[in-house]
Amino acid sequence: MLISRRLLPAVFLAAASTLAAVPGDAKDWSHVRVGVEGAFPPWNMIGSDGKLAGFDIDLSQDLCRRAGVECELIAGEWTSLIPSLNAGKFDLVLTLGINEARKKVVDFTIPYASGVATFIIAKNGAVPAMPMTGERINLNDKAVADPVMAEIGKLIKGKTIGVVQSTSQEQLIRAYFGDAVEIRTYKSSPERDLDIRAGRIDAGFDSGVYATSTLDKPGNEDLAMTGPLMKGAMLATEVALGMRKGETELKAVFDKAIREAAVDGTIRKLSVKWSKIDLTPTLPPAE
Amino acid sequence: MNQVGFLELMGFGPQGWGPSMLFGALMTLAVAGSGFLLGAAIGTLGAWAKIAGGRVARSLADLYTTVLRGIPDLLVIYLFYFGGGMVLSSIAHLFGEGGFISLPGFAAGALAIGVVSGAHHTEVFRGAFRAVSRGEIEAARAVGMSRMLCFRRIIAPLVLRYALPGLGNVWQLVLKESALVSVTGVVELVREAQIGAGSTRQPFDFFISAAALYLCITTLSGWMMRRAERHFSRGMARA
Repeated sequence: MLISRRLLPAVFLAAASTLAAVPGDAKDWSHVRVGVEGAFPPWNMIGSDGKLAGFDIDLSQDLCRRAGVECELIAGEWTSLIPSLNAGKFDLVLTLGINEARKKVVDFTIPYASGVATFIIAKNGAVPAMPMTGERINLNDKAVADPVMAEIGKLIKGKTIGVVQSTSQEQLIRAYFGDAVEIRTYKSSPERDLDIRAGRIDAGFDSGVYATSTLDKPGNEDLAMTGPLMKGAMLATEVALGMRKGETELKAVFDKAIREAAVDGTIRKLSVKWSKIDLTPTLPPAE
Repeated sequence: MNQVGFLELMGFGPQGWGPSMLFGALMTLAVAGSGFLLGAAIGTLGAWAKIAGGRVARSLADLYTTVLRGIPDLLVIYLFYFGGGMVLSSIAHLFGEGGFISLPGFAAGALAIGVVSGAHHTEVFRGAFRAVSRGEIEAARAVGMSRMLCFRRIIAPLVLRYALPGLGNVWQLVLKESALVSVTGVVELVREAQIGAGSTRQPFDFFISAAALYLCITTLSGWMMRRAERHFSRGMARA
Protein backbone atom coordinates (compact mmCIF):
# COMPACT_ATOMS: atom_id res chain seq x y z
CA MET A 1 0.00 0.00 0.00
CA LEU A 2 1.30 3.36 -0.95
CA ILE A 3 0.22 6.77 0.24
CA SER A 4 0.38 9.52 -2.33
CA ARG A 5 3.28 11.96 -2.13
CA ARG A 6 0.85 14.85 -1.75
CA LEU A 7 -0.28 13.41 1.57
CA LEU A 8 3.18 12.67 2.92
CA PRO A 9 3.91 15.93 4.76
CA ALA A 10 0.59 15.78 6.60
CA VAL A 11 1.24 12.14 7.35
CA PHE A 12 4.64 12.90 8.85
CA LEU A 13 3.28 15.66 11.08
CA ALA A 14 0.40 13.59 12.35
CA ALA A 15 2.71 10.69 13.04
CA ALA A 16 5.02 12.57 15.35
CA SER A 17 2.51 12.21 18.17
CA THR A 18 1.68 8.57 17.55
CA LEU A 19 5.08 6.98 17.10
CA ALA A 20 4.65 4.99 20.29
CA ALA A 21 1.59 3.17 19.00
CA VAL A 22 2.64 -0.34 18.00
CA PRO A 23 0.18 -2.82 16.59
CA GLY A 24 -0.18 -5.73 18.99
CA ASP A 25 -3.32 -7.63 18.06
CA ALA A 26 -3.53 -11.18 16.78
CA LYS A 27 -2.34 -11.44 13.20
CA ASP A 28 -3.19 -13.43 10.18
CA TRP A 29 -0.15 -15.59 9.42
CA SER A 30 -1.32 -17.11 6.14
CA HIS A 31 1.26 -15.00 4.30
CA VAL A 32 4.75 -14.68 5.79
CA ARG A 33 7.56 -12.56 4.34
CA VAL A 34 11.01 -14.07 4.89
CA GLY A 35 14.19 -12.01 4.56
CA VAL A 36 17.37 -13.67 3.30
CA GLU A 37 20.77 -12.34 2.24
CA GLY A 38 21.11 -14.27 -1.02
CA ALA A 39 24.92 -14.05 -1.12
CA PHE A 40 26.12 -16.59 1.47
CA PRO A 41 26.72 -19.93 -0.25
CA PRO A 42 25.95 -22.72 0.36
CA TRP A 43 23.28 -21.45 2.79
CA ASN A 44 21.71 -19.06 0.31
CA MET A 45 22.78 -17.52 -2.97
CA ILE A 46 21.35 -16.03 -6.14
CA GLY A 47 22.18 -17.56 -9.50
CA SER A 48 22.87 -15.73 -12.75
CA ASP A 49 19.18 -16.35 -13.55
CA GLY A 50 18.27 -14.17 -10.55
CA LYS A 51 16.72 -17.07 -8.63
CA LEU A 52 17.44 -17.85 -4.98
CA ALA A 53 18.98 -21.23 -4.23
CA GLY A 54 20.70 -23.00 -1.37
CA PHE A 55 20.08 -24.98 1.81
CA ASP A 56 18.06 -22.16 3.43
CA ILE A 57 15.80 -21.86 0.40
CA ASP A 58 15.02 -25.58 0.14
CA LEU A 59 14.51 -25.94 3.87
CA SER A 60 12.34 -22.85 4.27
CA GLN A 61 10.04 -24.10 1.51
CA ASP A 62 9.69 -27.35 3.38
CA LEU A 63 9.09 -25.59 6.72
CA CYS A 64 6.46 -23.26 5.26
CA ARG A 65 4.61 -26.19 3.74
CA ARG A 66 4.59 -27.95 7.10
CA ALA A 67 3.48 -24.78 8.86
CA GLY A 68 0.69 -24.33 6.31
CA VAL A 69 1.73 -20.77 5.46
CA GLU A 70 2.52 -19.15 2.17
CA CYS A 71 6.08 -17.80 2.35
CA GLU A 72 7.47 -15.00 0.24
CA LEU A 73 11.28 -14.96 0.19
CA ILE A 74 12.77 -11.47 -0.12
CA ALA A 75 16.50 -10.93 -0.69
CA GLY A 76 18.07 -7.97 1.11
CA GLU A 77 21.46 -6.70 2.18
CA TRP A 78 22.77 -8.59 5.21
CA THR A 79 23.28 -5.54 7.44
CA SER A 80 19.75 -4.27 6.78
CA LEU A 81 17.97 -7.58 7.47
CA ILE A 82 17.41 -7.15 11.23
CA PRO A 83 16.41 -3.44 10.95
CA SER A 84 14.03 -4.41 8.12
CA LEU A 85 12.56 -7.15 10.30
CA ASN A 86 11.92 -4.72 13.12
CA ALA A 87 10.51 -2.11 10.72
CA GLY A 88 7.97 -4.70 9.57
CA LYS A 89 9.34 -5.31 6.07
CA PHE A 90 9.78 -9.01 6.85
CA ASP A 91 8.28 -11.34 9.45
CA LEU A 92 11.19 -13.80 9.58
CA VAL A 93 14.92 -13.65 8.83
CA LEU A 94 16.92 -16.70 7.71
CA THR A 95 20.44 -17.84 8.70
CA LEU A 96 20.69 -15.98 12.01
CA GLY A 97 23.36 -17.46 14.28
CA ILE A 98 22.04 -17.46 17.82
CA ASN A 99 24.05 -15.23 20.14
CA GLU A 100 23.45 -13.03 23.17
CA ALA A 101 23.68 -9.68 21.38
CA ARG A 102 21.01 -10.64 18.86
CA LYS A 103 18.76 -12.11 21.57
CA LYS A 104 18.34 -8.53 22.81
CA VAL A 105 16.75 -7.30 19.56
CA VAL A 106 15.00 -10.35 18.06
CA ASP A 107 13.43 -13.64 19.14
CA PHE A 108 14.69 -16.93 17.72
CA THR A 109 13.01 -20.17 16.71
CA ILE A 110 14.67 -23.37 17.88
CA PRO A 111 17.79 -23.92 15.71
CA TYR A 112 17.09 -25.36 12.25
CA ALA A 113 20.72 -26.16 11.63
CA SER A 114 23.62 -26.90 13.88
CA GLY A 115 26.97 -26.15 12.35
CA VAL A 116 30.34 -27.48 13.44
CA ALA A 117 33.91 -26.26 13.57
CA THR A 118 36.93 -28.17 12.35
CA PHE A 119 40.61 -27.87 11.38
CA ILE A 120 41.93 -27.09 7.90
CA ILE A 121 45.51 -28.12 7.05
CA ALA A 122 47.80 -28.25 4.04
CA LYS A 123 47.96 -31.84 2.76
CA ASN A 124 51.77 -32.02 2.98
CA GLY A 125 52.14 -29.56 5.87
CA ALA A 126 53.65 -29.75 9.34
CA VAL A 127 50.45 -30.85 11.11
CA PRO A 128 49.56 -34.53 10.62
CA ALA A 129 46.00 -35.82 10.12
CA MET A 130 44.05 -35.77 13.38
CA PRO A 131 41.86 -38.46 14.96
CA MET A 132 38.07 -38.67 14.36
CA THR A 133 38.18 -36.81 11.03
CA GLY A 134 34.64 -36.10 9.83
CA GLU A 135 33.03 -37.47 12.99
CA ARG A 136 30.86 -35.30 15.20
CA ILE A 137 31.87 -34.53 18.76
CA ASN A 138 30.08 -32.50 21.41
CA LEU A 139 32.60 -30.69 23.59
CA ASN A 140 30.06 -30.52 26.44
CA ASP A 141 30.28 -34.30 26.64
CA LYS A 142 33.60 -34.06 28.46
CA ALA A 143 34.12 -37.80 29.04
CA VAL A 144 34.30 -38.38 25.28
CA ALA A 145 35.64 -35.05 24.07
CA ASP A 146 38.43 -34.19 26.51
CA PRO A 147 40.74 -37.15 25.68
CA VAL A 148 40.34 -36.40 21.95
CA MET A 149 41.11 -32.72 22.47
CA ALA A 150 44.17 -33.66 24.55
CA GLU A 151 45.44 -35.84 21.73
CA ILE A 152 44.90 -33.03 19.20
CA GLY A 153 46.74 -30.70 21.59
CA LYS A 154 49.82 -32.97 21.37
CA LEU A 155 49.69 -32.98 17.55
CA ILE A 156 49.60 -29.20 17.25
CA LYS A 157 51.91 -28.30 20.13
CA GLY A 158 54.24 -25.46 19.15
CA LYS A 159 52.48 -24.93 15.80
CA THR A 160 50.77 -21.77 14.53
CA ILE A 161 46.97 -21.82 14.15
CA GLY A 162 45.04 -19.24 12.10
CA VAL A 163 41.49 -18.17 13.00
CA VAL A 164 39.15 -15.36 11.96
CA GLN A 165 39.20 -12.52 14.46
CA SER A 166 36.45 -12.27 17.13
CA THR A 167 34.76 -15.51 16.21
CA SER A 168 33.77 -18.24 18.63
CA GLN A 169 36.32 -20.43 16.85
CA GLU A 170 39.08 -18.09 18.04
CA GLN A 171 37.69 -18.28 21.60
CA LEU A 172 37.75 -22.07 21.45
CA ILE A 173 41.36 -22.32 20.27
CA ARG A 174 42.43 -19.87 22.98
CA ALA A 175 40.55 -21.78 25.68
CA TYR A 176 41.71 -25.29 24.74
CA PHE A 177 45.14 -24.78 23.17
CA GLY A 178 46.09 -21.21 24.10
CA ASP A 179 49.19 -22.28 26.08
CA ALA A 180 50.44 -24.85 23.57
CA VAL A 181 50.14 -23.07 20.21
CA GLU A 182 50.73 -19.70 18.64
CA ILE A 183 47.49 -18.09 17.45
CA ARG A 184 47.31 -15.76 14.47
CA THR A 185 44.07 -13.89 13.70
CA TYR A 186 42.77 -12.87 10.27
CA LYS A 187 40.03 -10.59 8.90
CA SER A 188 38.53 -13.32 6.74
CA SER A 189 38.80 -17.04 6.12
CA PRO A 190 40.19 -16.86 2.55
CA GLU A 191 43.10 -14.66 3.76
CA ARG A 192 43.92 -17.27 6.37
CA ASP A 193 43.78 -20.04 3.76
CA LEU A 194 46.33 -18.18 1.61
CA ASP A 195 48.73 -18.26 4.56
CA ILE A 196 48.17 -21.99 5.13
CA ARG A 197 49.03 -22.64 1.51
CA ALA A 198 52.08 -20.37 1.74
CA GLY A 199 53.27 -22.29 4.82
CA ARG A 200 53.21 -19.19 7.06
CA ILE A 201 50.86 -20.97 9.45
CA ASP A 202 50.37 -24.67 10.08
CA ALA A 203 46.59 -25.02 10.38
CA GLY A 204 43.33 -23.10 10.42
CA PHE A 205 40.20 -23.59 12.49
CA ASP A 206 36.86 -22.63 10.92
CA SER A 207 33.23 -23.58 10.42
CA GLY A 208 32.69 -26.98 8.82
CA VAL A 209 30.34 -25.58 6.18
CA TYR A 210 32.96 -23.01 5.17
CA ALA A 211 35.57 -25.77 4.99
CA THR A 212 33.54 -28.13 2.78
CA SER A 213 32.32 -25.42 0.41
CA THR A 214 35.83 -24.00 0.06
CA LEU A 215 37.69 -27.27 -0.39
CA ASP A 216 35.22 -28.02 -3.15
CA LYS A 217 36.46 -25.07 -5.23
CA PRO A 218 39.21 -25.44 -7.81
CA GLY A 219 42.55 -24.17 -6.56
CA ASN A 220 42.10 -25.62 -3.08
CA GLU A 221 43.17 -29.20 -3.87
CA ASP A 222 46.19 -28.90 -1.58
CA LEU A 223 44.04 -28.21 1.51
CA ALA A 224 42.22 -30.78 3.64
CA MET A 225 39.83 -30.94 6.57
CA THR A 226 41.02 -32.89 9.57
CA GLY A 227 39.91 -33.76 13.09
CA PRO A 228 36.40 -34.07 14.52
CA LEU A 229 33.45 -31.83 13.61
CA MET A 230 33.07 -29.98 16.92
CA LYS A 231 30.17 -28.23 18.57
CA GLY A 232 29.34 -27.22 22.12
CA ALA A 233 31.48 -25.34 24.65
CA MET A 234 31.79 -21.71 23.47
CA LEU A 235 31.22 -22.45 19.78
CA ALA A 236 28.29 -20.45 18.35
CA THR A 237 27.08 -22.95 15.79
CA GLU A 238 23.31 -22.91 16.16
CA VAL A 239 21.46 -21.25 13.26
CA ALA A 240 17.80 -20.25 13.55
CA LEU A 241 15.07 -18.07 12.09
CA GLY A 242 14.75 -14.66 13.71
CA MET A 243 11.47 -12.80 14.29
CA ARG A 244 10.29 -9.60 15.98
CA LYS A 245 10.18 -9.84 19.76
CA GLY A 246 6.91 -11.16 21.13
CA GLU A 247 5.66 -12.97 18.00
CA THR A 248 4.93 -16.12 20.05
CA GLU A 249 2.31 -17.49 17.63
CA LEU A 250 4.73 -17.42 14.68
CA LYS A 251 7.48 -18.95 16.82
CA ALA A 252 5.22 -21.81 17.91
CA VAL A 253 4.24 -22.63 14.31
CA PHE A 254 7.83 -22.67 13.02
CA ASP A 255 9.30 -24.42 16.09
CA LYS A 256 6.89 -27.27 15.41
CA ALA A 257 7.77 -27.39 11.71
CA ILE A 258 11.53 -27.42 12.44
CA ARG A 259 11.06 -30.20 14.99
CA GLU A 260 9.22 -32.34 12.43
CA ALA A 261 11.78 -31.66 9.69
CA ALA A 262 14.61 -32.61 12.06
CA VAL A 263 12.92 -35.83 13.18
CA ASP A 264 11.96 -37.15 9.73
CA GLY A 265 15.40 -36.56 8.23
CA THR A 266 14.55 -33.65 5.91
CA ILE A 267 17.19 -31.37 7.46
CA ARG A 268 19.82 -34.11 7.18
CA LYS A 269 18.96 -34.78 3.53
CA LEU A 270 18.98 -31.09 2.51
CA SER A 271 22.10 -30.14 4.46
CA VAL A 272 24.10 -33.05 3.07
CA LYS A 273 22.95 -32.03 -0.42
CA TRP A 274 24.22 -28.45 -0.02
CA SER A 275 27.12 -28.62 2.43
CA LYS A 276 28.12 -32.31 2.53
CA ILE A 277 27.70 -32.18 6.33
CA ASP A 278 24.70 -33.31 8.37
CA LEU A 279 23.56 -30.12 10.10
CA THR A 280 20.54 -31.61 11.94
CA PRO A 281 20.26 -29.65 15.20
CA THR A 282 20.06 -31.21 18.62
CA LEU A 283 16.52 -30.33 19.61
CA PRO A 284 15.78 -28.70 22.95
CA PRO A 285 13.14 -30.62 24.94
CA ALA A 286 9.57 -29.71 23.91
CA GLU A 287 7.83 -27.25 26.20
CA MET B 1 30.15 -24.65 -9.28
CA ASN B 2 33.33 -24.30 -11.22
CA GLN B 3 35.43 -21.21 -11.54
CA VAL B 4 34.48 -19.70 -14.91
CA GLY B 5 36.41 -17.18 -16.99
CA PHE B 6 35.61 -13.47 -16.91
CA LEU B 7 34.03 -13.32 -20.36
CA GLU B 8 31.84 -16.33 -19.71
CA LEU B 9 30.87 -14.99 -16.27
CA MET B 10 29.89 -11.57 -17.59
CA GLY B 11 28.52 -12.86 -20.88
CA PHE B 12 25.01 -13.67 -21.98
CA GLY B 13 25.23 -17.49 -21.95
CA PRO B 14 23.46 -19.77 -19.47
CA GLN B 15 26.15 -19.12 -16.79
CA GLY B 16 26.46 -15.46 -17.68
CA TRP B 17 25.51 -12.55 -15.44
CA GLY B 18 25.41 -10.09 -18.36
CA PRO B 19 21.61 -9.65 -18.44
CA SER B 20 21.40 -9.27 -14.65
CA MET B 21 24.18 -6.67 -14.57
CA LEU B 22 22.62 -4.69 -17.44
CA PHE B 23 19.26 -4.80 -15.71
CA GLY B 24 20.99 -3.53 -12.56
CA ALA B 25 22.45 -0.65 -14.59
CA LEU B 26 18.96 0.17 -15.92
CA MET B 27 17.61 0.14 -12.36
CA THR B 28 20.41 2.52 -11.34
CA LEU B 29 19.39 4.85 -14.19
CA ALA B 30 15.72 4.60 -13.19
CA VAL B 31 16.36 5.39 -9.51
CA ALA B 32 18.83 8.19 -10.32
CA GLY B 33 16.62 9.59 -13.10
CA SER B 34 13.44 9.79 -11.05
CA GLY B 35 15.38 11.17 -8.09
CA PHE B 36 16.98 13.81 -10.33
CA LEU B 37 13.63 14.90 -11.85
CA LEU B 38 11.96 15.07 -8.45
CA GLY B 39 14.96 17.06 -7.21
CA ALA B 40 14.64 19.47 -10.17
CA ALA B 41 10.98 20.10 -9.31
CA ILE B 42 11.82 20.67 -5.64
CA GLY B 43 14.80 22.80 -6.66
CA THR B 44 12.65 25.07 -8.83
CA LEU B 45 10.28 25.64 -5.92
CA GLY B 46 13.17 26.15 -3.52
CA ALA B 47 14.92 28.65 -5.79
CA TRP B 48 11.67 30.55 -6.29
CA ALA B 49 11.18 30.67 -2.50
CA LYS B 50 14.72 31.95 -1.97
CA ILE B 51 14.50 34.60 -4.70
CA ALA B 52 10.93 35.84 -4.64
CA GLY B 53 9.42 34.36 -1.48
CA GLY B 54 8.42 36.21 1.65
CA ARG B 55 10.36 35.96 4.89
CA VAL B 56 8.71 32.66 5.92
CA ALA B 57 9.22 30.94 2.55
CA ARG B 58 12.82 32.17 2.42
CA SER B 59 13.76 30.89 5.86
CA LEU B 60 12.03 27.54 5.20
CA ALA B 61 14.04 27.15 1.99
CA ASP B 62 17.22 28.13 3.84
CA LEU B 63 16.51 25.57 6.54
CA TYR B 64 15.86 22.91 3.89
CA THR B 65 19.08 23.46 1.94
CA THR B 66 21.19 23.77 5.08
CA VAL B 67 19.86 20.58 6.68
CA LEU B 68 19.69 18.38 3.58
CA ARG B 69 23.13 19.37 2.29
CA GLY B 70 24.57 18.92 5.77
CA ILE B 71 23.56 15.35 6.63
CA PRO B 72 24.76 12.12 5.01
CA ASP B 73 22.55 10.87 2.17
CA LEU B 74 22.56 7.35 3.58
CA LEU B 75 20.87 8.72 6.69
CA VAL B 76 18.10 10.32 4.62
CA ILE B 77 17.51 7.01 2.82
CA TYR B 78 17.32 5.18 6.16
CA LEU B 79 14.87 7.80 7.45
CA PHE B 80 12.55 7.34 4.48
CA TYR B 81 12.84 3.57 4.27
CA PHE B 82 12.74 2.51 7.92
CA GLY B 83 11.29 5.63 9.49
CA GLY B 84 8.69 6.08 6.76
CA GLY B 85 7.44 2.55 7.30
CA MET B 86 7.10 3.03 11.05
CA VAL B 87 5.30 6.36 10.66
CA LEU B 88 2.86 5.07 8.04
CA SER B 89 2.14 1.96 10.12
CA SER B 90 1.31 3.89 13.25
CA ILE B 91 -0.97 6.22 11.28
CA ALA B 92 -2.75 3.29 9.69
CA HIS B 93 -3.12 1.90 13.19
CA LEU B 94 -4.90 5.10 14.22
CA PHE B 95 -7.49 4.42 11.56
CA GLY B 96 -7.97 0.86 12.79
CA GLU B 97 -5.77 -0.79 10.20
CA GLY B 98 -3.45 -3.36 11.84
CA GLY B 99 -0.10 -4.60 10.60
CA PHE B 100 2.68 -2.82 8.77
CA ILE B 101 2.52 -0.48 5.84
CA SER B 102 5.60 0.85 4.18
CA LEU B 103 6.99 2.63 1.19
CA PRO B 104 8.40 0.19 -1.37
CA GLY B 105 12.20 0.31 -1.60
CA PHE B 106 12.23 2.00 -5.00
CA ALA B 107 9.85 4.79 -3.90
CA ALA B 108 11.70 5.36 -0.63
CA GLY B 109 15.04 5.47 -2.46
CA ALA B 110 13.92 7.78 -5.29
CA LEU B 111 12.14 10.03 -2.80
CA ALA B 112 15.22 10.27 -0.57
CA ILE B 113 17.51 11.01 -3.51
CA GLY B 114 15.03 13.56 -4.84
CA VAL B 115 14.82 15.37 -1.52
CA VAL B 116 18.61 15.46 -1.13
CA SER B 117 19.36 16.50 -4.71
CA GLY B 118 16.54 19.08 -4.48
CA ALA B 119 18.73 20.99 -2.06
CA HIS B 120 21.61 21.03 -4.53
CA HIS B 121 19.23 21.92 -7.38
CA THR B 122 17.91 24.87 -5.35
CA GLU B 123 21.37 26.37 -5.02
CA VAL B 124 22.23 25.75 -8.69
CA PHE B 125 19.01 27.40 -9.92
CA ARG B 126 19.34 30.33 -7.52
CA GLY B 127 22.90 30.99 -8.61
CA ALA B 128 21.92 30.74 -12.29
CA PHE B 129 19.02 33.17 -11.86
CA ARG B 130 21.33 35.67 -10.19
CA ALA B 131 23.59 35.44 -13.24
CA VAL B 132 20.81 36.52 -15.62
CA SER B 133 21.29 40.19 -16.39
CA ARG B 134 18.56 42.48 -14.91
CA GLY B 135 18.37 44.33 -18.20
CA GLU B 136 17.03 41.33 -20.10
CA ILE B 137 14.11 40.98 -17.69
CA GLU B 138 13.44 44.71 -17.67
CA ALA B 139 13.45 44.72 -21.46
CA ALA B 140 10.93 41.88 -21.52
CA ARG B 141 8.63 43.74 -19.11
CA ALA B 142 9.09 46.93 -21.18
CA VAL B 143 7.79 45.28 -24.37
CA GLY B 144 4.72 44.22 -22.42
CA MET B 145 5.35 40.53 -21.76
CA SER B 146 3.23 39.08 -18.96
CA ARG B 147 5.07 37.48 -16.04
CA MET B 148 4.41 33.93 -17.37
CA LEU B 149 5.50 34.81 -20.90
CA CYS B 150 8.63 36.48 -19.57
CA PHE B 151 9.43 33.38 -17.49
CA ARG B 152 8.86 31.04 -20.44
CA ARG B 153 10.67 33.02 -23.15
CA ILE B 154 13.38 34.88 -21.25
CA ILE B 155 14.09 33.61 -17.74
CA ALA B 156 13.81 29.83 -18.21
CA PRO B 157 16.15 29.53 -21.24
CA LEU B 158 18.70 31.93 -19.73
CA VAL B 159 18.62 30.23 -16.31
CA LEU B 160 19.04 26.87 -18.00
CA ARG B 161 22.09 28.16 -19.87
CA TYR B 162 23.81 29.18 -16.65
CA ALA B 163 22.54 26.19 -14.65
CA LEU B 164 23.59 23.40 -17.02
CA PRO B 165 27.20 22.96 -15.85
CA GLY B 166 25.96 22.87 -12.24
CA LEU B 167 23.17 20.45 -13.17
CA GLY B 168 25.76 18.16 -14.75
CA ASN B 169 27.56 18.01 -11.42
CA VAL B 170 24.33 17.34 -9.54
CA TRP B 171 23.50 14.51 -11.96
CA GLN B 172 26.85 12.80 -11.32
CA LEU B 173 26.28 13.23 -7.60
CA VAL B 174 22.82 11.67 -7.87
CA LEU B 175 24.10 8.78 -9.97
CA LYS B 176 26.65 7.82 -7.33
CA GLU B 177 24.16 8.41 -4.53
CA SER B 178 21.86 5.87 -6.16
CA ALA B 179 24.32 3.15 -5.11
CA LEU B 180 23.23 3.79 -1.50
CA VAL B 181 19.67 2.78 -2.39
CA SER B 182 20.86 -0.83 -2.35
CA VAL B 183 20.18 -0.83 1.42
CA THR B 184 16.46 -0.76 0.66
CA GLY B 185 16.72 -4.03 -1.26
CA VAL B 186 16.37 -2.39 -4.69
CA VAL B 187 18.56 -4.48 -6.97
CA GLU B 188 20.53 -1.75 -8.70
CA LEU B 189 24.06 -2.06 -10.03
CA VAL B 190 25.93 -2.16 -6.71
CA ARG B 191 23.55 -4.62 -5.06
CA GLU B 192 23.61 -6.84 -8.16
CA ALA B 193 27.41 -6.84 -8.04
CA GLN B 194 27.35 -7.75 -4.34
CA ILE B 195 24.94 -10.61 -5.01
CA GLY B 196 27.08 -11.92 -7.85
CA ALA B 197 30.31 -11.52 -5.88
CA GLY B 198 28.86 -13.38 -2.88
CA SER B 199 27.15 -16.12 -4.84
CA THR B 200 30.07 -16.97 -7.11
CA ARG B 201 32.92 -15.96 -4.74
CA GLN B 202 34.50 -14.02 -7.64
CA PRO B 203 34.20 -10.46 -6.28
CA PHE B 204 36.81 -8.82 -8.52
CA ASP B 205 35.02 -9.68 -11.77
CA PHE B 206 31.75 -8.23 -10.53
CA PHE B 207 33.04 -5.02 -8.99
CA ILE B 208 35.24 -4.19 -11.97
CA SER B 209 32.25 -4.74 -14.30
CA ALA B 210 30.05 -2.52 -12.13
CA ALA B 211 32.73 0.19 -12.22
CA ALA B 212 32.92 -0.08 -16.02
CA LEU B 213 29.14 0.23 -16.33
CA TYR B 214 29.13 3.33 -14.09
CA LEU B 215 31.85 4.83 -16.25
CA CYS B 216 29.79 4.14 -19.39
CA ILE B 217 26.79 5.90 -17.89
CA THR B 218 28.75 8.93 -16.70
CA THR B 219 30.70 9.25 -19.95
CA LEU B 220 27.52 9.07 -22.01
CA SER B 221 25.65 11.53 -19.83
CA GLY B 222 28.67 13.87 -19.78
CA TRP B 223 28.63 13.91 -23.58
CA MET B 224 24.88 14.64 -23.59
CA MET B 225 25.36 17.45 -21.08
CA ARG B 226 28.04 19.07 -23.26
CA ARG B 227 25.69 18.92 -26.29
CA ALA B 228 22.91 20.49 -24.25
CA GLU B 229 25.27 23.23 -23.04
CA ARG B 230 26.25 24.01 -26.63
CA HIS B 231 22.59 24.11 -27.65
CA PHE B 232 21.58 26.55 -24.95
CA SER B 233 24.66 28.75 -25.47
CA ARG B 234 24.07 29.37 -29.19
CA GLY B 235 25.21 32.88 -30.01
CA MET B 236 27.46 33.09 -26.96
CA ALA B 237 31.24 33.14 -27.18
CA ARG B 238 32.62 30.31 -25.05
CA ALA B 239 34.96 31.70 -22.45
